[in-house]
Amino acid sequence: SSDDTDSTAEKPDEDAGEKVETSVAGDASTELDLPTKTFKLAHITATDHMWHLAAEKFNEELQARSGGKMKVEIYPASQLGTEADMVQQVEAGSIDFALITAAYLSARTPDLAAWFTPYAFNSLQDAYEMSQGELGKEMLKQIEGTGLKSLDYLFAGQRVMITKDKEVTKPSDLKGLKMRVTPSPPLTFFYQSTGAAPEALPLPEVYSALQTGVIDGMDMDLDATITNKYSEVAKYATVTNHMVWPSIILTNEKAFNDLSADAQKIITESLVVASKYAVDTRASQEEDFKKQLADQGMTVTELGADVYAEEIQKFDAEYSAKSDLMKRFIEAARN
Amino acid sequence: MTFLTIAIFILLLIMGIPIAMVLGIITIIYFLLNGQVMLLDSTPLRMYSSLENFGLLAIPLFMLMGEIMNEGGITTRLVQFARVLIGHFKGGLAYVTVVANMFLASILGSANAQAAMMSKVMVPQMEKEGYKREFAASITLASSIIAPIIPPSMIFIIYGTLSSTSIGALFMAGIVPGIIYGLVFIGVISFMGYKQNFPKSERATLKVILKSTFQVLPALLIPITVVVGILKGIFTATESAAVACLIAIIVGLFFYRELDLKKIPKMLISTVTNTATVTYLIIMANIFGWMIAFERIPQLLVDSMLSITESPWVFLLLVNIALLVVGMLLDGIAALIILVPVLMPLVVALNIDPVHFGVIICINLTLGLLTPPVGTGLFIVSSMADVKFETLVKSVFPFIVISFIVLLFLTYIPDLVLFVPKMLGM
Amino acid sequence: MVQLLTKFSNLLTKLEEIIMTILMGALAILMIVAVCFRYFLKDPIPWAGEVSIFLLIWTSFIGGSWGLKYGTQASVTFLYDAISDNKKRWLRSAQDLTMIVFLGILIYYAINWMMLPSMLIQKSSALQIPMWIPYSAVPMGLIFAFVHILTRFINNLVNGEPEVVEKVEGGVS
Ligand code: NA
Ligand code: NA
Repeated sequence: SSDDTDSTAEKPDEDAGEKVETSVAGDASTELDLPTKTFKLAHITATDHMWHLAAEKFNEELQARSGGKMKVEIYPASQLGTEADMVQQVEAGSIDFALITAAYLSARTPDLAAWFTPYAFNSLQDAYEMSQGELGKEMLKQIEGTGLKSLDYLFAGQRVMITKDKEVTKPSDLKGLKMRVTPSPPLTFFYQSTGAAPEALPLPEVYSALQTGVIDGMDMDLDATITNKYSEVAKYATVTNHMVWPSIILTNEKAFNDLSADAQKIITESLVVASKYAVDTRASQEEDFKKQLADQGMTVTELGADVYAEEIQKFDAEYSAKSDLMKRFIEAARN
Repeated sequence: MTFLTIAIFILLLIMGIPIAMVLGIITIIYFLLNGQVMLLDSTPLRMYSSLENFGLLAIPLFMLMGEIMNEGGITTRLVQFARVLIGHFKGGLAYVTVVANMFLASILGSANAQAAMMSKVMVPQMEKEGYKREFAASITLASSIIAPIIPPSMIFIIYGTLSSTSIGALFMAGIVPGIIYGLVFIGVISFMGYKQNFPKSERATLKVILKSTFQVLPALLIPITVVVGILKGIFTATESAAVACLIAIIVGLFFYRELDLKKIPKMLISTVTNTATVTYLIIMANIFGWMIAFERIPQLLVDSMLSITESPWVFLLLVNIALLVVGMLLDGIAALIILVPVLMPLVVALNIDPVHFGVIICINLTLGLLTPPVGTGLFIVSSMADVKFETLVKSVFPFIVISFIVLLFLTYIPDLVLFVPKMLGM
Repeated sequence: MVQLLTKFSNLLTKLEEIIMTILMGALAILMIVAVCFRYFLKDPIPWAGEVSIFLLIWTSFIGGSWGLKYGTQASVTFLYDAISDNKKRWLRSAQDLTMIVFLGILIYYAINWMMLPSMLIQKSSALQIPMWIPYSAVPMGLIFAFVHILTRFINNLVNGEPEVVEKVEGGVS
C-alpha cells in the first residue's frame, strides 16, 4: 500500500512562503514532499543512556533534513509504560517510534535470540555490520506482521560480568554463583551452562542485593555499572564482552506506509545516522569506562572467547537447532 | 478542555464514586474529549502492566502476616508487655498505647490496619482507667502513623517501586524517624499529664515482667528476622514478607496456640480483598499517570518549578506544604501514585537523595490519614472507638501540628533519615 | 430476572473467593520456597518472580471486583452522608451507572485487545507460557465487577436497597 502515499501526503507548496530553518542539507528540503509532524518516540532508559542520546541525534537529523518540518518528542524512562505497553501503543498508532530491546522482543519473535549468541562478535562494529547486512534485515522482518514495522537497530554496550567477591578467570569460577541475569531464555541458558545460578531480581534491588549478598554478581554493561555505582559494592569487573545488547526501532506499519516516499527516506536516513552514532560513540568510550571503574577501585580484567569454548559449543548446538534463520545467523557470526 | 476535565473530576469525587474508579473514569473521558481514542486500545494492557512489579508482592504478603499475627493473639501480648514495662508511670496507659504501637509497627506496615487493631484494644482499656474516650482515641490514631514509618511499610514499598529506589534502604531509613515520632508523642503526653493529672496503674512484679517478656519474644522474632535477613543477604525486602508469614504461622501455631488453621481461607480472602483496595488504586492511578505523561505535564512542571527555584530546600518546603493540602483530600497511596512520577524528575534535577525524599513524602501523606475532611484513619478510629468525627478531629489536632513540625526537622536534617542506611552502606 | 441476576452475582462471588484463596495461598508458598531454593539449595527458581507477579495480578483483578461489590474501595462520602435516604438512593444509582458505563467501555477494549493477532505470539520471558493466560485477568476481573455493579444497580432501582450492605474496614495506607 505504499502506492497510495501521494494521496495522503500534504501539499508541499503550503509552506512555500514560510521561513524554513537552514539545514545542513541546504534548502533541498523545501522541494520535498514532507508533512509537518511531531513524532512521539518512547524508550525505557534514563536520559544519560546511549539510546536516549541516539534518539536526540535522530531528532536533530530529522529536523535538519526536513527543514524543521519533522521532529521528535522523546518520552524516556518508561514514561509511557513497559516494553509490552510501548509495543502495543506502536501497534495501536499512539506512539510513532519505540526502542524495544531484542531481549524483550525475543519472547514474541524467538529468532531474535540468535543476537545473544555468546562471543559472536569481536567488537560492536562487527555486530553493527551484521545488523546492516542481509541476515540483520531478515531478523527485522521476523518481528513484523502484527502491524509493526522494524526500521533499524540501536546497540548499547556489550555484556560484562560484575562479581562481588570472586574473580572470574574461567567458566568454572562461575559455578554456584548467584548471578542476576535479565530473564530471557538465551541469557539464562548461557549462564546455566557455566554452572552459575541465574536469578532474575528487579534492577532497583540489585545494588543492595549485591551488597548484602543475596546475589554474588550480575550480567551487566559497563555503562550501567558506572551509573549505578556498582563499584561501591562489587570488587571485580570481568570484561568478557560476551554478548551484544541491541534494541530495535519499531514503528506502526500503516502510519509509516502512509507517509510520503520522501518522508520515509528522511526517517530511514536519519535513523542510520543515529544508529551509527550510537555504535561509534559507545565503542570510543570503552577504554575510558574501564579506566573509570579501575579508578573507583574495581579489579578490571579481560576474558576472551577461548576459555568459554565448551559453553559456546553448547549454545550453538542448542540454538542452531531451533530454526534455520538462527542456524544461518550463528554460522555467519562465527565466520 | 482541561478545565472541563477538572470539573468532571471534582464532580465524580463528590458523587462518592471510589477514588480508584474516578481516576480511571477521568482518564477515559479525557481520551475521548481529546480525540485520543487509540489510547483506549492500549489501556487494558497498561492496566495489567501497572502491577508487573516485583516490589508490589510485599503488599499482600505483609498483609497476610498481619492477619495471621492478629488471629494468633499478638496484639494483646504486645500491649501487655508495654504495660508491665511502663504502665506504672503517671499517664502510664497513654504511654503504653504509644509504645505498643511502636512494637506493632515493627510487624505491621499499614497505619489504617494498626489503627483498627489498636482502637479495639486500647480505647476501652484507657476509658476504664479514667481517660476521656476522645483522648484515648486520638492517641491511638496519632501513634498509628508510626506503623508505616518503622519497617515494614506498605507506603515505602509503593514509593520504592514507583521511583526505582531500594526498598531495603527505605526500610532502614524509617527506623530513626519512627523512633523519633514515638518519643515525641511520649513527650507530648507527659506534658499533657502535668496539666491533666492522668491516672497510673500498679507497678508489675518482676515475675509478671519476666512472664510477659517471655510471651512477647516469639512475636518480636518477626522484625528481628526481617532486619537480620535483609542485612545478611538471605532475602530481599520483598521476600522478607513471605518469610515473616512463615514465622507468624509458626508463632501462632506453636507458641501462642491461638491460630486456628480452619480460619486460613478466610484470612487469605481478606488479605486479597485488602490488597486489591491498594492495587486497584495503583492500576487506575497508573493509567491516569500515563495520560499525564502523554500530555508532557511532568516536563512542564519540572521547567516551571526550576524557573521558580533551584534550591532543593525551597523545593522541599513547597512539596511539604503542597502534600499537606493534597493529604487533606486524597488517600495517601492514591496521592503517592499520582505524584511520584511527576516529582521524581525534579528530585533528580535538584540532586535530592531519593531515599530522603521518599521518607519525607511518605510521612507527609501518612499524616493525611489524620487530616479532615478526607482521612481514612479518622474514619476508622471514629467508628471503631465510637467517637464523633468532629470531636476526634479536635482532639487529634495537637498531634497533627507536632507531627508536621517533626517532619520539617526530618526534612532539613537529612542525616536523621539517612544515618542508618549510610551506616549500613546502602 | 432480578433474582436470577442476584443469584448469578452471588455465585460469581463464591467463585472469586475460591480463586482468591487458592492463588493467594500459592503466592505465599511459592515465595517462601523460592527463598529456600536460592539460599539453602543455592539453586534459584528462575520463574518464581514471574509466576508470583501473575498471581498478584490475578488476585488483584478478582479481589478488586469483590471489593467493588462490597464497597471496600475508599471514596469521598461527605455528600452521601449529608443527604436524605431517598436522595441517597438516587445518588447510589448515579454512582453505579457511571461505573457501569466505564466498566463497559473497558470491557469492550479489553476483549478487543485479547482478540489481537499479536496476543497468540506473546510468551512470558522466563517460563515461556502464552501471555493470554495472565492477561485474561483484566477482562475477567472487569466482567465480574460489571456483573456485580449491574446487579446492585438494578436491585437499587427495583427495591430501593443496595443488594448488600456490609461494613468492611478499608484502606491500607
Ligand atoms: Na511498620
Ligand atoms: Na486527610
